[in-house]
Amino acid sequence: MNEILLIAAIWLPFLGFLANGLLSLKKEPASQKLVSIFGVGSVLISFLIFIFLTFAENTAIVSQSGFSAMFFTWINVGTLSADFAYKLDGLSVFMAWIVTGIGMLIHIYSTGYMEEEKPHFARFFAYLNLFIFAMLHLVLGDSLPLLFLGWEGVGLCSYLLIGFDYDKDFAAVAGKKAFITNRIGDAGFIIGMFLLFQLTGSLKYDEIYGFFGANSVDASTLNIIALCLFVGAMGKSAQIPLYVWLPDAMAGPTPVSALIHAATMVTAGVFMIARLAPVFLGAPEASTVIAFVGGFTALLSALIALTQTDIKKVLAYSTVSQLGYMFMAMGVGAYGAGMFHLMTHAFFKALLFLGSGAVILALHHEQDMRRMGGLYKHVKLLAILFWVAAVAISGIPGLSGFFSKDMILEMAYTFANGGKILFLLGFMTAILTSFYIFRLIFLTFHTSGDAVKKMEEGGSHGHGHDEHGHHSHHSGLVPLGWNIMGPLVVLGVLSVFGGYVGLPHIITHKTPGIVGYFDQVLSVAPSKAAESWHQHIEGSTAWLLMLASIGVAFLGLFTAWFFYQKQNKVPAEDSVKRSFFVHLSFNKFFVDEIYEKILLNPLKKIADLSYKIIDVKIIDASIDYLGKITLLIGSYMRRLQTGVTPNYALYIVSGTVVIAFIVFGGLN
Amino acid sequence: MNGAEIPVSYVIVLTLLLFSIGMLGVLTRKNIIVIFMSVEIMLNSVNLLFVAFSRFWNDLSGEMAVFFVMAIAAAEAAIGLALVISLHRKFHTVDITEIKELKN
Amino acid sequence: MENIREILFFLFAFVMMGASFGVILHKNPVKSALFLVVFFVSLASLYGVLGAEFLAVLQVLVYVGAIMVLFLFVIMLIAVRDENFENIGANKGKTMVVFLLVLAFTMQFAALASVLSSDDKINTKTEYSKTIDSAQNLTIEGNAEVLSFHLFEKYILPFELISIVLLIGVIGAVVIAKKNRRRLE
Repeated sequence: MNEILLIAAIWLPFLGFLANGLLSLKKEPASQKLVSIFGVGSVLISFLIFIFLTFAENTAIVSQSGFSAMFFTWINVGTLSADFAYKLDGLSVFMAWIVTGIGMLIHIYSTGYMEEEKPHFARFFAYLNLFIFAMLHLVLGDSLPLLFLGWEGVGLCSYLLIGFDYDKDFAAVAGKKAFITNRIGDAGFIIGMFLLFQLTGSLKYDEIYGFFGANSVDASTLNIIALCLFVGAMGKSAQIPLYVWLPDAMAGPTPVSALIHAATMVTAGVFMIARLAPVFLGAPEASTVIAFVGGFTALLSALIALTQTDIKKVLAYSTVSQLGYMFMAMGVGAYGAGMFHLMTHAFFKALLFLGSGAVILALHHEQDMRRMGGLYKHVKLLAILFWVAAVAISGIPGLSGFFSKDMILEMAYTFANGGKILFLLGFMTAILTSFYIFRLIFLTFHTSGDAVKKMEEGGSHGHGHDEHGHHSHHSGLVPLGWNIMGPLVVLGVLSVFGGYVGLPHIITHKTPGIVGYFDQVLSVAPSKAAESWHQHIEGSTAWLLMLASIGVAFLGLFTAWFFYQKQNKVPAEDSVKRSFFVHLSFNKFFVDEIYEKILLNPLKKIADLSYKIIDVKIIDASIDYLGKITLLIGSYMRRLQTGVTPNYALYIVSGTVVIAFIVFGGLN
Repeated sequence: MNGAEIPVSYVIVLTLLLFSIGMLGVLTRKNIIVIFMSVEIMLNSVNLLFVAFSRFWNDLSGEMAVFFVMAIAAAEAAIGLALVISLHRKFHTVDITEIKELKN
Repeated sequence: MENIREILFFLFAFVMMGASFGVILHKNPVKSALFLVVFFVSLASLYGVLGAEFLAVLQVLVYVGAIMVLFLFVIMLIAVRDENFENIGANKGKTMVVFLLVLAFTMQFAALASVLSSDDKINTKTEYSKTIDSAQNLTIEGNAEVLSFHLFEKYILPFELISIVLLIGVIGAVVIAKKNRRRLE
């Protein structure tokens, strides 16, 4: 019975996708109420089922094998078998809650946010439901092929949703960029998967875990596998060097940015590392690489986020930066801390994105922070929620982000292979994080400027979002309905209290709850397996570290307040010449341009050459010759087709003679 | 001998020769009507074989077959000759090599 | 007396061969048709020699009486007498190919005849007989009688179907021969 419920929970969003997909095919826009019921209802029921299953199958879930349900056989070739079978264990139930819970909140929010987009309403919800469906496969599948199926499925949905406004060039291009960048990562992922299959002879998690439990594997083999798999994670979770697609992905509607590009899909890489904990924990060198890639990604994108003026771009780079934190945690073996940050980040980043979406909506699709300010007076609740999220992300004590970030920084500090450098990277990122997020808050909600006035005077130029022209008169803010504010409040509450599942051990003198949880449910207890990777530190050092990170959080807050509130600075217009470092940061360190120069242009040249030589001269030419030969044969053969009937009779007789020879030949 | 006089193989050879002559006619002649006559020769040679084997096996089914073939041949002759008339009316010739509707 | 049927068989066989060569070699279709009449009549005689008297009669009635008349009628109608386009020896290469092909064909099927030995002979004298009522011990004999019983008992359905085919043939012939004239007018 519960097996059926689990399958139903996973496939319900698919039904929602089918229903909304069919509705979107209708010529006239479908009833929004109906679409909302299908879209939100399917995810809501799915979420409720997961809650029920969590309590009903509690003992099975926290055990090693988990609670599993078999749906149908998919691939069965030789020793490779992959089924549509699901595994609800401690890790996947954790992710399933986040996916369906936050997914449901964002679905509700979307009913308000997308209200204006009448002709595309059903299509939007169809994609969202499909995304939830794919993400649940990624999370709940009991084998790597199913994870990969979900992995590609969410990639597809990401592509479709980034390019949701496909009639706009920048959206279509951003969608393609995301898709292609992810292909690079997927290549690495597939290779890693094959190598793992070669090693263990199976792609089912239970069998992989069993293999690692029974055999000790050479670390060098595991290093290669882990690095290949990490390349996949780089693509999906936007790490250096494949992070470039995520900021562009902001071309999609804001709920999409919140759901896919902040809370769930981009954390798939982190989840995958936790899922294959035995592989990564057995590969210390690869893990070090992962930690440093994460650290550098965190710092670089935080630097870029400092000077961005588009509210969503700031949040996008912030997401990349926070993902860097998570990978840093996974790299140093602090799986509990990584997953903890994944969860808290899902709460406050979803809140930030949805909040920014509310701002953008209220300001008639204005995204430029230079045209905002003083919104606090108009939307008090929204401003308070934004403050909650900002405090949470910046690491000011008491809110969720503080606990998870502090745990990561401490684990990084104790890491034996260059832990100090990692800590420094994380520490600097923490300052920058605090600065850019409060800069965003001050620019948007405070300062002496008044967004409403700016809007009425200047109109909204810059981003060309004006086609949503239902509000072309630009008078006043668009009112925000309950379906927009409701999810925000829920996320705000979660952002405040979400951190209390992982109180640091220096306060409680116990292993933090969430670390203990993951030690229990993952097939290898990460904090035991990675114990040798860490040096022991005194309690006083830990206190010092914590105080330092609290200090920098307030430092960022103060600096932001000083520049943008007290001195009332507004970031300069795009054309103004900036000082060197600001120029670098504002232009995203020219990474896109460098990629274009050193990768894209040579590739284009190679493609051009191979077109001219291989395609035209070899492939096309050989086909042409084939055609010419056929023509030549035909020019002789067609003389047989005289059109004179007796000749055809002659052919028939010849055929009869041949057949007779074959049949009676033996008689002679 | 008890009335058994003519060897079956004689009849077969005769039938085969007649059939081949008919086939020669079909393949070499140009006049549609003569070709038609050659086809009748072929048809009748097969009829002869039917009768011979019917007698040889003492089974009347062979003769019944000949009876039906004759009926069909009558219908076929009527249709065929109607076609010849219609062809001649359209192309003003009965030379089969002149009629090249199968080409182009 | 024993040999008389064999002699007759050879006689008619040679007549048929000659007549069929006459059909395919003569330039004039009218003469070809007349040779075909000879062919049909001698074939009917051969049926008689083989003991199928009823078919012999039918052969003369149907082929000579009906079909050949139709042939001659058509030849006269479209007024093709002496064909100047007919010249069998003109294309020697093609005639050669055709001849060789037909020869090969004949040779192939002659192999079938060799399966039977010359001892397998046709019984031309035995009359067919059929008991139609065993209670009254009523038995009929004779080719035509037995054949008709077969026709109207075992083959009654094909017989009826054949009549439909003939009807369709008649109608079809009329339609085909008539259609173009109407279109031309």
